Amino acid sequence: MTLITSRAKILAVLLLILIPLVVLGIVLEANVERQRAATKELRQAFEVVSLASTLAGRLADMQVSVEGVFITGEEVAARELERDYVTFLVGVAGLRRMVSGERADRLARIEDGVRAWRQGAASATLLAIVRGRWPEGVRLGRQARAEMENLREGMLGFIRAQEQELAGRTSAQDDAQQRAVIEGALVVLAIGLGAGLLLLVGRIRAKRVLVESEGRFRALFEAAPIAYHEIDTAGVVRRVNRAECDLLDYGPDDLLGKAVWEFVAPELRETVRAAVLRKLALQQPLAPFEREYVRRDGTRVTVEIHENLIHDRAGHVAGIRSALLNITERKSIERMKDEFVSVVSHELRTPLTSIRGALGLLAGGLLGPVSERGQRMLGIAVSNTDRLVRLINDILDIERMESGKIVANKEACNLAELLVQAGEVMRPMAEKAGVTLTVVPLAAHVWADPDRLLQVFTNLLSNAIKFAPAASEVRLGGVLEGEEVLLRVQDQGRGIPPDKLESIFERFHQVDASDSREKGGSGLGLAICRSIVAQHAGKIWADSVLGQGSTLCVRLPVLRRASVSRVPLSAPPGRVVLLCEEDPEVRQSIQGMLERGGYSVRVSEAGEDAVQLARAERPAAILLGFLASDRDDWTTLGRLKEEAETREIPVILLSSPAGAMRPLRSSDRVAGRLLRPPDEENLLRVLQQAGAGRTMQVVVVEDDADLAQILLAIFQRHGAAVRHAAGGREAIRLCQENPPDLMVLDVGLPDGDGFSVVEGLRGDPRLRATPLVVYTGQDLSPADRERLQLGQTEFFTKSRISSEELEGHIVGLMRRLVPNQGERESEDGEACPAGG
Amino acid sequence: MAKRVLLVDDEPDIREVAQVSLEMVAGWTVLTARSGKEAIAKAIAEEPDAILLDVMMPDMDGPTTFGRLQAEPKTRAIPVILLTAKVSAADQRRFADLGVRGMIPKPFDPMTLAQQVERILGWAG
Repeated sequence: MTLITSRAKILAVLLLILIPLVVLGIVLEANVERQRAATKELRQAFEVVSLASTLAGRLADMQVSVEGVFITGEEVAARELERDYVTFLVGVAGLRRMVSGERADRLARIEDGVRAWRQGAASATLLAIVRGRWPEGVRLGRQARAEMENLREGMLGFIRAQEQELAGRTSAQDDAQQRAVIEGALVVLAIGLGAGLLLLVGRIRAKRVLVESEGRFRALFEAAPIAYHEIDTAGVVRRVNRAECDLLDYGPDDLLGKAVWEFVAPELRETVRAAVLRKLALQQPLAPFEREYVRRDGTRVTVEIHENLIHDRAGHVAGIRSALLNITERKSIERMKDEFVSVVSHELRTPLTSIRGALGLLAGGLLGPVSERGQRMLGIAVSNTDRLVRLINDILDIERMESGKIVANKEACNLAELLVQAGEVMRPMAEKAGVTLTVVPLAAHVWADPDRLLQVFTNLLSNAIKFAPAASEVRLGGVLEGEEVLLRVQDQGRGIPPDKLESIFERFHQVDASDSREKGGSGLGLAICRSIVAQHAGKIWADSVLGQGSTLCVRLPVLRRASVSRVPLSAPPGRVVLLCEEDPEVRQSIQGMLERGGYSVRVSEAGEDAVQLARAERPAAILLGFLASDRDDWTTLGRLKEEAETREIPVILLSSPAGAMRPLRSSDRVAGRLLRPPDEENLLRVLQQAGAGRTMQVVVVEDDADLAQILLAIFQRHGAAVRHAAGGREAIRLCQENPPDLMVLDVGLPDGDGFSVVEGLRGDPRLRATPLVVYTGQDLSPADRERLQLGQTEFFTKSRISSEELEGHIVGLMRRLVPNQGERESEDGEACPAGG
Repeated sequence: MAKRVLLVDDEPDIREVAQVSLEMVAGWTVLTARSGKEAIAKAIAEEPDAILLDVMMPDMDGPTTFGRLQAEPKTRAIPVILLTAKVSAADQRRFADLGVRGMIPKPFDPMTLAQQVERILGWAG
């Protein structure tokens, strides 16, 4: 049976309320009726009793009348007797009408008895008295009395019976009422039960449906062709399906109860662990990503993982459910394809090199004069060879772009410059074709890879020039539209038919099979443009009027000026240091050091001023100059530590070597101590130790995304603020924006090499001494190590070091650069015992 | 004085074209080698001003040859430019890691080959 829909539910509830009401009404009605009837009967019964009692009284009266003949005389007695008798008869008649059955018979007998008495004993008595026969009269009177007694007994008996019945009826009435109440209650109960049952049944059904659906889900989960696993909030595997077991070649018992990162390659374990825990904490599963697992036999599988958060009934995150798609084969195919493309392109290029070379030399006139015809032929040969080369390049390009291998190295680009540059590159071609090339530069900045954008512009211009008739104009320009820039390349060629406006961006598509191939196009230009534009979150399309010309449009998001401006060198706001130092020279010197270290400085006299200023500014640290013998300094310190608002601010004492300052105790709660005047390095180090220092800034320069992730994770784990550059240009930019405390550099970068990054940085006095970790694929010669030196520089070779070792080294470096609070002694600057 | 350049490529046609180009366009003296092994021997013997080194060669490829040249004290300082059809990003990275001075892709324009070499090595034109 299907689940109860909500409309049906409402209907059911309504019915559930109405029906019992109706039933109750009916029942009550019936009760009331019964009550009424019963009351009526009761009343009647009362009346019967009452009348019967009256009649009984009448009988007594009759007797009295008869016996009163002795006193009142015959006439009166007879008269009274008659009166009572008649009254009795009338009454009894009425009474007989009120009763039925056995009681009526009884009454009838009594009536007959009374009649008989009247006509018999009573009458005889009276007669005797009339005749004067007194003793007979007395005897007869006594007989009459005796008979009447009987009759009266009968009557009384009747009354008693009636009364009993009445009592019975009354209690029956009470019972009936009680019953009515009980009935009512029972009805309500029944209804309640009914409703309850209905709900229960509904619930049970719903539960069954749920169980069924859960069962189905479980069956689905279990039998799915895709590997699934579920992990709890600690990252422990709680559920796996068959496909997962097959994938990893482990039985369910081997998988359940283990942390999910135990099954990845060992060098990735830490990263995966951190990533999983972070996902659970932030409650954000990732978009699909790839990961490598290790099967039981040690072979590796690459999987694409799709994740969902699992919620418990209260709505809290209870874990993550992951679907794993085995893409090992796909990856290997991709790799093979890449290799194939690379090898093929190489194989094609090699003979082309010879051809191009030979032809070039000939065409260049180096090897003797060539006839005009010959020159023309050579020209044809050379240009076609070039075309072949371009084709190979384009194929490679587009293949790599589509498979995501080409990572655009974006930076802030001056559009105007790029437009002008594109114009310059294409000018020779335009001149040769007799086409006027006009470039209208647009002042705007975009966040883009300048080489790629240039490629787009030159490509579009090339197409335009090819299709422009001689003496016509090709225009390159653009307009700003709000947050975007719209660039246009216009030509006055023959135009593009409307049904082709979309398809020209497809690979190898030509507007017209006959033309562009002649003009040397590879058919991939626009497809490449589209790829590049897509990489830059833009749009490219074509507008055209047949016979008049075409306009190729590119829309790109504009870079807002604000994000290009340089970030000031200073430390993040909030790093204020309060300096209380009376010696003006020392004070100035320290102030300089602090500012260089990125702190803002507030100066005050010792004493009350210092406390007030500290309360107001809440600096990150207080440098308190001590004149050894001056008791006031201790007071200031005491005051600072007393005040709730300033108690927690680390205080560093500046004392004179000669001064006889008593040794510090932990109860002084001083965070550090320096000898006056302090060494800059020590000052900053002690400040850092005291907890007032900045977070360490690191720049990681690595174009391999996976490796970058590992490095970023390492630094973040150790509390550094790390920025990532995927290319040399970006690396230099990041360093210039905000000079890092440490840079990690992968020497083999795509655009420049690591060397040029170092060279670039060396040219900047601020960055010349940046500590550097060089991470390289192959051993470097000493000469190269020379070239890669900045500040303190260390070298690691990728293949020779595991990520744990690397992490260890990095952490060691970080400690040496900025010692953490674990360290203690040094010559003239010391941290104080814990509690300070 | 004219520069002396050692050209290393297993393809004879390419050797010839490149040699003609450098000799006739720039007037350099061009020595050639067919393989990595020959290259090392010639480099040690002749101490050229520069080496143009093909990457894909049987037996000993360009990078390996370069490694040997670097290991050899006599040839360590000779600047090396790779001449190659392998231009994928991964390859470029690998070459940069090596420490060669630069890379000229194939096919090259024989009329400007010398110019490109000069630019990379910083030789006056």
